[in-house]
Amino acid sequence: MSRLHNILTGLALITTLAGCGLSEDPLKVGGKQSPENRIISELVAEIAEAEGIPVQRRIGLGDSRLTLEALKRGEIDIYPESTGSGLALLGLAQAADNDPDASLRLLRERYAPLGLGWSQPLGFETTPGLVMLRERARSLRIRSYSDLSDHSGRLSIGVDTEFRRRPVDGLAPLMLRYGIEFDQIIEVALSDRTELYNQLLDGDIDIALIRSGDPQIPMFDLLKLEDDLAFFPDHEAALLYREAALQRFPALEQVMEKLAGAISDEQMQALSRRVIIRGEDPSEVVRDELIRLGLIQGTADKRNRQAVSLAVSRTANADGEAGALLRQLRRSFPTSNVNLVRSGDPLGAVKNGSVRLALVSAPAFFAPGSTDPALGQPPLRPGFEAVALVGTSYLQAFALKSGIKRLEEATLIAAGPEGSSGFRAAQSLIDGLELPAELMSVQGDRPEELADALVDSGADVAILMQPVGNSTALRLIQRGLSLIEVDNWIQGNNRIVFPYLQPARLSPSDYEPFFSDEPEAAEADSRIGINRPIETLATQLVLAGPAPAAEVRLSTQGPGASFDPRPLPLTDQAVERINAATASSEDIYPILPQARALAPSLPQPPQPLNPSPAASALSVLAILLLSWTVWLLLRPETKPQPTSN
Amino acid sequence: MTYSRKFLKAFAANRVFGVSLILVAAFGAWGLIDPEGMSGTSLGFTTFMLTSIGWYWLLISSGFLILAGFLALGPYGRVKLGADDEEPEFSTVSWIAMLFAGGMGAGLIFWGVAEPLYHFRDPPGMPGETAEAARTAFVLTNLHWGLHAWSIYGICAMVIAYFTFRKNRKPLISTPIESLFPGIGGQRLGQVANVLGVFAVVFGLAGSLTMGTLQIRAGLGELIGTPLTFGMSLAIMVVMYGTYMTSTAVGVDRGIKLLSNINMIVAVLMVLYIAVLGPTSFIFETLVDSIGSYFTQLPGLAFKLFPFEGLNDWTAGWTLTYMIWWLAWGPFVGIFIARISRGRTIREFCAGVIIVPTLFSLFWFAVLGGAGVFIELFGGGGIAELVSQDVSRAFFVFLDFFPFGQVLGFIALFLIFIFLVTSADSGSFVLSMMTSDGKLNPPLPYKLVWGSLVAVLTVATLFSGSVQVAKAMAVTGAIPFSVVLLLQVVGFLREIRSERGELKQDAERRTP
Repeated sequence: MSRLHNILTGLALITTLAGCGLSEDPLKVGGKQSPENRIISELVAEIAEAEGIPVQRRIGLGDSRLTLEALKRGEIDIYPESTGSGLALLGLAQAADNDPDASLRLLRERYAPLGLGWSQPLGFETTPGLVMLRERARSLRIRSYSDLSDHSGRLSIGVDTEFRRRPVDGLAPLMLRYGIEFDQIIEVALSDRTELYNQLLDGDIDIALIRSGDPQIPMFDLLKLEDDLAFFPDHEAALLYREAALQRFPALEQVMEKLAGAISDEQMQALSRRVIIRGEDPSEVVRDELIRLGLIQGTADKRNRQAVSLAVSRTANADGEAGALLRQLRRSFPTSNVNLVRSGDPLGAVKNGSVRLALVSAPAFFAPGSTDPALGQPPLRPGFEAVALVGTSYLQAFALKSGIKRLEEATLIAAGPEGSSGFRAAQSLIDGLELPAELMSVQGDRPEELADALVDSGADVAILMQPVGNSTALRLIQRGLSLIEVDNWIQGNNRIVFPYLQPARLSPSDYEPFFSDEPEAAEADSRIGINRPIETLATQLVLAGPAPAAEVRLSTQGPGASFDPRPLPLTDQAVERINAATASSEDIYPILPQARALAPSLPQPPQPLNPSPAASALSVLAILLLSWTVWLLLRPETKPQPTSN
Repeated sequence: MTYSRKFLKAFAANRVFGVSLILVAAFGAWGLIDPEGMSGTSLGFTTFMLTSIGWYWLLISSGFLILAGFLALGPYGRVKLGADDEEPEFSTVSWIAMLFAGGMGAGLIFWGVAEPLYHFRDPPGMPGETAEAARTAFVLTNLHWGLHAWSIYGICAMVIAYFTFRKNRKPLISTPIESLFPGIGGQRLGQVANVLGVFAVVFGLAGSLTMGTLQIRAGLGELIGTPLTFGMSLAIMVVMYGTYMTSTAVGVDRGIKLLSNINMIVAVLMVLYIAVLGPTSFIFETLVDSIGSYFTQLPGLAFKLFPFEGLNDWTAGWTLTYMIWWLAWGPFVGIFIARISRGRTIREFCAGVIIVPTLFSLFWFAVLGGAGVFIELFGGGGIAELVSQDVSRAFFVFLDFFPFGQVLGFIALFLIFIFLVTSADSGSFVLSMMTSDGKLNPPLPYKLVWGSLVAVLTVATLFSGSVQVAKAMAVTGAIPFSVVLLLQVVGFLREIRSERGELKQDAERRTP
């Protein structure tokens, strides 16, 4: 009786809950694929949630046309759009006087019959434009769009698919308007627009079509060409929404009011920079920003259990190697969030399971200080495997005292925390070159702090093992410290004992991209550190994950393999996807333990006819057992006298 | 004073108790002193057994399924496990709740989402993340948790129940063997079988409790961020110990029954909640589809190995590992199910022990796995990626997709806890039965001794920090026990055949 009552109460509870869940259709926030649009969409969604509106995110739909179509059909309720695109989507040209108010009036008038409305502009511009590398533009004497026609047919341009297709303000109308022909047109997907900057910097294309808010323009000091015939109207960002949604959620009005004119060009650039350059997750960037501004409640470090975390050293440059890798990992794990975690010992973080992956240089794989007597090589730290090759790290040894010209002169060498590859590389250096110096480790939570700590350590030389562009190294160069050469590494059997350290040469041009965003900032100063090629050592920068346990398991998969508190290795599929994204053409050093998926698959040798005599014997025993049981079952009844009673 | 002296005397006189205690202590000490050696040796042994005679394990598991079908539908279906006029001791609902709680336990909670998703991503011998892979995923999951598992339990239990309640013999593993080999040789063999049984149950239980404690610890860590330390494991184990000792002390007709009923209600409510708030029609389509594909593909799959694909490892890692787990738990769940099944006919018994739980687990996986596959195929995705990383975290992330996900997480932990408590409770009950020369209601001191011994072993394994040891403990007993089980079955079949023969003869004698 009472149990029945319990069940009924439970059922009633479930029905009520189900009722709640279904009655309200949430506000569907949409968004285009490009990073800045993702940011704004997240912003709208977060603020709407803070206003108490239930939100469903459908961010990253596609280009403008598709997103507008979704809005018209009611698949989404609101999305950020630029005024210029809004006009172009209806096939309208810009207002003659380029008056933003007039454009907005026109937009509202023309969109009203569709049941759609435009909010007040958000405050920043996102006008399309063309950019070139300064040197290239200077040598071709190009300043404006019209100048391009002088080189008609000789230049290549990179555009995104959306811009290529647009009939009113797209590539074809632009070429018509200015009478330009391009030698080659490279097209990338809207979501990969960042790729255009890489191609521009690599010299694959001469001109890139960008948006005025892109953070890369000041970062790489690109030249924005002058739109001398005013082909592109000013594109102001605003929100395009369904009137019906406003009726359903009157609070949406407040959301839009809050956002009106609230985001300046600089703020937008700062946010885009975090997403585009550093590869951070748009929703987290937005949450952080809103919490910082006090617009929503919450703690900034909300734990995300679904995340794939990547540990990097405390000094890794989020604008450089770490950010690039983070972007590639996002592509490899499309359904998970990929987080960046800074750690003094990235591999240690992998070991204790707090992160899934670590970005380390090859020396970090070896336990510092000792040698394996059998091989004469330093012993490997157990429990890790290399998953993908990401780049190259250089030994960057800085003279902290002015008199020091060679490593041999140093009596005290400072490096990062003990788990770091810099510390390990310094140890190898001392062992390999038989330096008389002592090694000390220095802590610092942030790149600048570590740089300062190294300088203040009182050591003669500071050693870093990091890719070019590492924040601490850049900081040390800015402080006017110079790099010292390591040119006698080949002596003895160093290349056999430390096969992961290779002689290399660092040239000043390697550093150039990282100083270009502050062109005047101590031009003379910053080049003291490196004004000629430096002989040094290099090693591979790899992505590492947990290795499978060496001891016997019940199985490598299945229920017997799980519920192990130790981290499980990445699956073969995950390793393959990461390698597809990082697209490295070189193999990882053979001395490093590597993921199974990276091993070359050998054709199976012909198996002997009887691979395992023990298994045969066991099979025979099993057959005998089964035969015996069958005989026991079928043998005639003997009716023996019971022994007891 | 006199009571404890009598008790000690009884213990001293009991050879099975003494020998198994020594063996348990020796094996346990080996695991503690040299965890790597012990787990390496016994897991290496098990792995070798699974990979080199995989055909044997699949054959006997499927054989038990066929045998169960024959017993239920064949000429012996109406034979009652008890006197002909006896009534069942427990109500049908409580009976099913108890056998379910004893038999499947905590694994069902985590693997409900994880296993279908794992196979969906990486099915054997075909590309993953396709519609076909999803269908295969459900078929394979049901193969592992369905009829096979419950047939193994069912046969183990039926043999014991038949001899105990119909033949009024002792509820011991040795009874059917002694009936097969009358004489002193049979008694010796029977005692060996009894010791093997105790051995398998103690370590199966301690290994499972260790893994269960770690699961609860991981779950608490996910939900409220408690530290993953030995102290935390110890605290969980202490609470668990207190609960199951209390439940044991109250007796099977109140303690386990109450807990199992609570567990069943909570589990059903949780799964209904997920079914109703999740993609309901998708889930029920999955259910119907998976019933169809399971039963049509069962004959093939029950004998499917992958000799031509070279997927030996897959079969050993999944299907055979499950089979051997069910076998390892066979002596313990078997005796427990036998104990609560008095007075049911063989047909009724098979329906209750094999068909009903299988249908429930089909439903369970259709709901949890179906919702998970729905999220992967049509929703945001991301859980399958986590499954290969951390099964328990994947489960809690899955629950977060539902309203009150956090609360659901606690409910799931509660379920795991109760599952473990009922397992430990019935385990110490069974051990006491086995070592008290087959008393149906063994005296409390036995239960205290075994319950505490299992707890001590569990804490020691937790302290050694090696999950490998726990796994080695949990499955190693299954391999020798499979031989015992085969002999038991033969003894049982001969006995029931001769009973029917006698009936026939009686009838013939009476008719003329």
